[in-house]
Amino acid sequence: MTSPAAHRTVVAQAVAEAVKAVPGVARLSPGTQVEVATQYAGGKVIGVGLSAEVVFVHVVVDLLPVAPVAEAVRSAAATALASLGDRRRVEVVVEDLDLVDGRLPMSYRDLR
Amino acid sequence: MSDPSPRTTSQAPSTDLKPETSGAGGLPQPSAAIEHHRTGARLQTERGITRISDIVVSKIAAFATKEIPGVQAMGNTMARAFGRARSLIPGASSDASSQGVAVEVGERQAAIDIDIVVYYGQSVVEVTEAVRANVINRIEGMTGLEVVEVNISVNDLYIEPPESGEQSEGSRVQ
Repeated sequence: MTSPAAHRTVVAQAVAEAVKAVPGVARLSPGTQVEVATQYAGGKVIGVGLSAEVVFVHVVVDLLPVAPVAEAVRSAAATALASLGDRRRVEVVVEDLDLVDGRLPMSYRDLR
Repeated sequence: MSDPSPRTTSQAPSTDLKPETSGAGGLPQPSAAIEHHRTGARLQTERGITRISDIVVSKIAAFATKEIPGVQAMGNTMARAFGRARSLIPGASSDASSQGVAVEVGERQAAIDIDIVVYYGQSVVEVTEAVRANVINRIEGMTGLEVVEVNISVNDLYIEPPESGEQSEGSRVQ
């Protein structure tokens, strides 16, 4: 069992890495309200919030439609959590949609 | 097994916060092994004990707290005012390194109280959770003491002054 500080950081960073690798995720976002981040000594993991029962993931997407991207994010985060033995629920918040060359981004189906 | 903890002698060895029944003399091997596993260091051995003074623990707690980005300052209003005044006096001994921290250290355990100021806009829950986790991690790792509690008082919010707000508005009319 790792110490609580190490464990928080490990969980948040694992979730962030997994989510960033999902196609359609432009970046993690701190949100527009109170900053969503997990703080540790010397830095923070932006866009990943840990609570007792829920792990929040705030993302900006650049792929449409949003729903499958959000589901892929949730699934990637849940897998990362499960690999650490964490059984918390994942909540995904899509904060923004990035335009690609000034247009709405390509469809999720075109990518596959 | 090397003991990395600083060997200091405390002024008055305070009693253990949660006394063990197994006495200080002949420590049974299994319990010692568990102690070692839990905290990473053994403070009570057959060949003597290591005491860690309050000052050491409070300095570690203070640094561990300041490592969290959401913490703006430490100490209550009075302590911060005195700290500022003291820092203006040239040559004054500024022992502000453990400002805002009160500790109670036993032979194996420590309890810690921390006063902090948090940046406005940060989640107080997140900042305090991060502080608590980091303080426990650092103290248990560096001293081998078991941290039984970390009580945090959020004493104030720091609101950053707006940066050159008037200048950008002034550029509207040239």
